[in-house]
Amino acid sequence: MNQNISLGQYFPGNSLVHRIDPRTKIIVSLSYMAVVLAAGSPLEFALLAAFAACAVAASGVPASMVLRSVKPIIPLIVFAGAINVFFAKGRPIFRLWVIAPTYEGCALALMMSARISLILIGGSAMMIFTTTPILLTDGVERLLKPLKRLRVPVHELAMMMTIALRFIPTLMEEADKIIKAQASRGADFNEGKLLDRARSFIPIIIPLFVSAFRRADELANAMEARCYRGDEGRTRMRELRMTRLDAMAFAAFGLCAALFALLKLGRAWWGA
Amino acid sequence: MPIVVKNLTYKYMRRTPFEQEALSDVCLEIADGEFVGIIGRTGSGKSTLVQHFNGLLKPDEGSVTIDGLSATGSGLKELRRKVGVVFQFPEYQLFEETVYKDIAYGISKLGLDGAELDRRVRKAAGAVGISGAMLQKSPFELSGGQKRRAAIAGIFVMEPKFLVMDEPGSGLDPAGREEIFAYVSKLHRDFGVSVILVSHNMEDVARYAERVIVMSDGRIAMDGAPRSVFRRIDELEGMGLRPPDVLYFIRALKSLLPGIDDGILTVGQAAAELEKWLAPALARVPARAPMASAVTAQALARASVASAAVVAPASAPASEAPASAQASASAQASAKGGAGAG
Ligand SMILES: Nc1ncnc2c1ncn2[C@@H]1O[C@H](COP(=O)(O)OP(=O)(O)O)[C@@H](O)[C@H]1O
Ligand SMILES: [Mg+2]
Repeated sequence: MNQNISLGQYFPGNSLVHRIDPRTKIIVSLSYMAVVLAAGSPLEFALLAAFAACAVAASGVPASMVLRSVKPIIPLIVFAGAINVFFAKGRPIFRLWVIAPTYEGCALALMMSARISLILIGGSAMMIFTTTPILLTDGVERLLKPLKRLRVPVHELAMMMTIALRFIPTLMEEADKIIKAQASRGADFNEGKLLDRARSFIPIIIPLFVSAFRRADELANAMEARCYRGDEGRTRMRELRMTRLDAMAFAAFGLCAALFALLKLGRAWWGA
Repeated sequence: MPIVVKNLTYKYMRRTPFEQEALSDVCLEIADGEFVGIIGRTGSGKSTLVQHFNGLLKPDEGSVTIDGLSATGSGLKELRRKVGVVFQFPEYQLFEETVYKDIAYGISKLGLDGAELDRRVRKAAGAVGISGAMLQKSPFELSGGQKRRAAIAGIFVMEPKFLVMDEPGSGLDPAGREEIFAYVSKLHRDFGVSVILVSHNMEDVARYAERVIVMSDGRIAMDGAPRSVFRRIDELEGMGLRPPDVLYFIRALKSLLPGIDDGILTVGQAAAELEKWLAPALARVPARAPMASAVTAQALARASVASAAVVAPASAPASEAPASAQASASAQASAKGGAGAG
């Protein structure tokens, strides 16, 4: 359980997609999301879905796992879809008192589901499944570097992110141990009234905080002992480097975007 | 009724790419009142196994029953009351304002209060060497070793029928270790508490356990009396373990004294055995005043010196030494040996 969370959703591998520079992945993913938001016809959605499918296939992540990442928001899709189906104006399919689903509503609902799923799968799941959180924050730091001119503490923020990510699994493990230890002493976490339940977490929270502060102290010492003093003059062990693979990724996405633009233009030309 | 483990298999992070089988097909029975040592290199599955004894982990396959109870539903609470588990590094579970309250946490959960609670808390605290004044301190003011003791007292206070200790001695000073093991032995001897001691300190296991289980790669590799398990030095080494040094010492001596008892497990036993063998030579080595703290070691050292005295001239065959022992010298030596072993 712990390690699962430690790496977020990271799916270890060494596929083409895994090896793409995180900056490329971030830029392509964000652009992809923007394109998905602009899509409006079945053909356009099909094109974007095909792009996402290619990415999934190239990543070696099992399709079932990728599809599962949509699962948490299925209720949202269903709810929003239902509202669309019943409240959008248009030709009714049938009429039962005030309930009148429309064809237009159905189309809208389908499109919205497709949009959300594509944004989730192509826009974020692919990036998260194939990039370790540490690499991701590295990528974000590099991309946001220009903001340093505006006195935004980019490096410090990225460092905090990295440390937080690094310590989530450690603290999870610690919490797991503490919960087990207190359970062995007869602690009971889901019995009694709400207040009792809240109180039953004290034996977990306190040791956890104590250890978190202790670790923070130790980490700070260790960093200082190794002469950490912020971004100034700091070099990296793992340099991010764009390769031909990144050029290929940009080219593939550019192609997809160009096709998309053609479809869009075509639709405008033939008049919708 | 005993602890019965049948075909237990357990995997961490099931159904993920990180899935790892920590226990495979473990079968085990621990009778009431046994003192069992579980040894094995780190990652061999010791902690995973013992966490099944009080239902912290549930078997993926197979079953675990304690006194006929399994870790489901209403049985769980009773199970946890019967089986006390002292975890590795238990000091991190302290949370109360005072040491006293922290020790009392478990039994106050059971609804105990007043004089009975006070009596049990003080008894448990005494057992681990926590004095009256320390009970009113914050647990966070204690030293590492004191914290450990307080945390262990928090389990002792529950007076469990089965006491599981996962590496209780690691990181403790020898005196603290001695004290805690002495108390555990007493619980075992006088109150019939079953003790399951997980440790990679072979000396502790050799000294206290009546039965040793060796784990390797999630399986039980050996199970038997300490004498028979520790004798298999090469196999143990193959599993990343190192039996107590005395065993190597005895093995080395065996070529000189072929008749020596090679089931010896502790320094005390070795000293006694050697004194028996070398009584005549010992009689020639002047006995110095014993140092109180190192009686056994001194006896062993004396015996070793004596053995050198016997072997060096290579005149008489060493194995004849006991046969030629003078009655008076032998009696004198074994009296010393007895004191040393105690
Ligand atoms: N919480 C956990 N999550 C994932 N794997 C674990 C966890 N705890 C233990 N393991 C793995 O299970 C195996 C057995 O571990 P453990 O029972 O702790 O061994 P031991 O106590 O003998 O050192 C090890 O390979 C370890 O990496
Ligand atoms: Mg362990």
